[in-house]
Amino acid sequence: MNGRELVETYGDMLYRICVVSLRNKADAEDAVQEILLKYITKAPEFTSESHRKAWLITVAVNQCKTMIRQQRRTVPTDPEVLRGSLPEVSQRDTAILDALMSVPEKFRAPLILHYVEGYKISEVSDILGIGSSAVKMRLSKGRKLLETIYRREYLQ
Amino acid sequence: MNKKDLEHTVKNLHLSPEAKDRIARYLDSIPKGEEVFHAEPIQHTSFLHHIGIGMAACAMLAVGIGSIWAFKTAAPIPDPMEPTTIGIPDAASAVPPDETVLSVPDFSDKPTYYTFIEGTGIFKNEYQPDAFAFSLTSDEQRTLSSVISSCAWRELSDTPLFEGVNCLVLDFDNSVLEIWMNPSTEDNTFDVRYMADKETGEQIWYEADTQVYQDIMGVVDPYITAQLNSGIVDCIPNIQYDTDLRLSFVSNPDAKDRFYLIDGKPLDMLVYAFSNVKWGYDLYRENTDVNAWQTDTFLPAQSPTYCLYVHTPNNELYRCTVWLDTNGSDQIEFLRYTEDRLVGSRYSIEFDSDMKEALAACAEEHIYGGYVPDKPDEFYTVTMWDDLLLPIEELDFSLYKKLLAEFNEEHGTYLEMPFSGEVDEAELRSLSVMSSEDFLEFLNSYTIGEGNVAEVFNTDQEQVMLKPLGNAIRMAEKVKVMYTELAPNANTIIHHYALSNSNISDADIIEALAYMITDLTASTTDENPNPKEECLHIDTGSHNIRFYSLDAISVSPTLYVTFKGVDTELQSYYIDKDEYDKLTACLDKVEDPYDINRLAEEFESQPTPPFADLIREVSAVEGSYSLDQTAESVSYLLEASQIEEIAEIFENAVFSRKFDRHDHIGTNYGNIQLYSPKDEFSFAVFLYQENGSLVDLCIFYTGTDYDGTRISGLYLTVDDISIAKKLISIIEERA
Repeated sequence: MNGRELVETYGDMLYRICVVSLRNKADAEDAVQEILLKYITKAPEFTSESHRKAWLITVAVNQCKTMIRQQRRTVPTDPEVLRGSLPEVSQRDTAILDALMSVPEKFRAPLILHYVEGYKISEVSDILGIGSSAVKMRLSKGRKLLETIYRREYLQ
Repeated sequence: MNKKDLEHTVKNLHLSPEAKDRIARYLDSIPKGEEVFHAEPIQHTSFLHHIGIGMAACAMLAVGIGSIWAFKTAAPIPDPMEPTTIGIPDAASAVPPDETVLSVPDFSDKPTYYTFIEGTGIFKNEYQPDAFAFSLTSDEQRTLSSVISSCAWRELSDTPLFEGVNCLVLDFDNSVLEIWMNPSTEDNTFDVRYMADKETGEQIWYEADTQVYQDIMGVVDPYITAQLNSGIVDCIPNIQYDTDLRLSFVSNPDAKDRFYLIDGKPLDMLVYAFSNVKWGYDLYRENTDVNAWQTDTFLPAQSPTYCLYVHTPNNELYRCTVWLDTNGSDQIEFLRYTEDRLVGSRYSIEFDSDMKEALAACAEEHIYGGYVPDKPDEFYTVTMWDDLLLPIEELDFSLYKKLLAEFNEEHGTYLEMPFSGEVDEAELRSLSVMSSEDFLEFLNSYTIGEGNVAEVFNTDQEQVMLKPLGNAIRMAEKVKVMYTELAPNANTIIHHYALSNSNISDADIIEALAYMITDLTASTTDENPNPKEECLHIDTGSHNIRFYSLDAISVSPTLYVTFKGVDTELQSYYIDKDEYDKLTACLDKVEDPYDINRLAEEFESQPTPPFADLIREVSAVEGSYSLDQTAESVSYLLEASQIEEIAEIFENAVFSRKFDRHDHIGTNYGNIQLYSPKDEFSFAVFLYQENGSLVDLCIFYTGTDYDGTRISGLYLTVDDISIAKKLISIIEERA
């Protein structure tokens, strides 16, 4: 698979995970580039397509953690700027995204992997390297936080 | 909003066609054949397979393992009879040999233990590695000794940050060699700490190439793999050898979380049972996030859970959580508490009938029999929501009180905590081990009217003690304080204090500040509440503690606190106003507030750090810029010639230190960032424009100060704003 095919096949999926985690369009694009570069240079042989996809998502999660650490090391980006750097979406979408990005980072990845990418809890557990019960807990708290923020900020 | 809304919204996010094109072109430009490296397929017998796919650490190790096999077949095994010193074989090294030769302990001395720690945590204090110990045969020890002796080491001048993700600990009789993998493996190095003498604690840090790590792992890895495959792990504490231990026993969720002292026959039965069970390493670790884990463990999600706290005479504490599952997937989690973190692993376990009988007997006798220990002050433990284990005398009910106050305010009630007067000791104990949810249920029993009390409170709040900050204040030579009295009418009075520990009256106030900070009750938060006013700033030189009011015109009931130390990430907390008032009351005793103008002049007249030298000294500089806050920011590693250009710019620029936040002209429209990957320094240059022209800039610098001390942040300006354009052009050139 060449670079273009990789980007077309996995680019959007990785971008979704990265932009929600990093809250920054440019960083997310850089992250996707890094992840696919790692795939080209370091990926092991995969037993199945789902194995390959899970590997890429795991690398994405770790890449985002690394980049978040770098962000912390310098100066936090203004949240207003982050919102402005998101792709153009409808007002309602923006509200949902804003709420999602207000949820603490550790809840975001389980929410995206389970509710958007459709992974089972056990699979999310494997990808994130945390226990199934921890995934359940983060999903539960993440849902609650998401709803609370959404209601508070956008419905009232 | 429902699941479909969320799914639809997030799936609406796409890489732009331009970004796709750029990334694709970049990926296709990577030369095939030369730089492309495919790791060997992971052997199913390798321990990496067990650990599972996906960990970043595994990815690194996968590369390592690939080379390990190469090492085993191609690399000559050094003569085991070589002198056991670590030296630098590279004669061209600039480091004097006498600084780099290190004695290696005699590997033939037993017992020698090797601990492999595979951690996945990223941030400090959230790091919960799995560890197990093993020992090698004499031949393996000699081989390992030779490998270590023949490796190339470079002594580090400074202590690296503890952010490694993998660690191999070689624990000798009186010395320890720790191998830390740097999460940033791009530079192909790793850090080694060698503690030559455990008693004195003297240590030397080295850096070596990853080949060294691979060589060492080449000896150790097969053993780790075999160890895991055997299903037997040796690090389970051997309870039967601790003759004076106590077990606290709690059943959850059917019974209240009460702890009981167990001794006598039930204890013997448990000890016997745990000592004779066959332990297997569980492949799916519970959690790497300590906080999440602590909460998670007590979720009443599974079948009856037994939680055993094991105290050993030397104050070690183990927590053992057992899930009994009728489907045959019984699991046990064994964690060891250390001073500031949990270490341990989760293990699968096969309970035999004896074990189950022992547990059942304990449960029957002590839980349902209502056993209360005769000596409550002895090893009595309680669980708060963070599972802190405290003697009963040290119980802290402040959070309960806070919840109660909020409850009263919300419901117009006047309930008081039932342990202020004559209280039955058993009731006190019952309360002391109550979880936050149970406490709310308890309150709810007094509720008049409707409403679910549990939803009123944020039960996710976690109490924290700011003890490290108190110590930082206490240890500081000089403490700078900015304190703003915020009045409702926005009439503010700003005080500045420069307190010196060498002055007796100041020292008292510093101690009072330290004590109050230590005593503050704060709650953690990941949120940024967009604070309005900074009302108190304490600068110890090593730590910056900032208190913000959430209201622009008065000190609000809840304050937002941030602190950042030299070696710590920015951390944020909420704190109540009454706590804040206790803290600021210390400042009333300051008799001679510092003259703000003099303080500012003194600060600004200090020389600026030697930026150019710092930039030249590091091996790599990363730069990024964004000239439009809404546009993409690009980040690149700069080449040596560009680093030199930047160093020259900084060498020729005249910097001014700013005492306070920079009062800039114009509006912020972009920024440039320069930082070294190893965190030696970072510059954030904020650009300001007016009418489309660059009119001002503000530099935020973190790194070493002019006198060599580490500073966590310094505002700077330069008169010549054209340096911003020069920096942009250099980074653009690389881009």
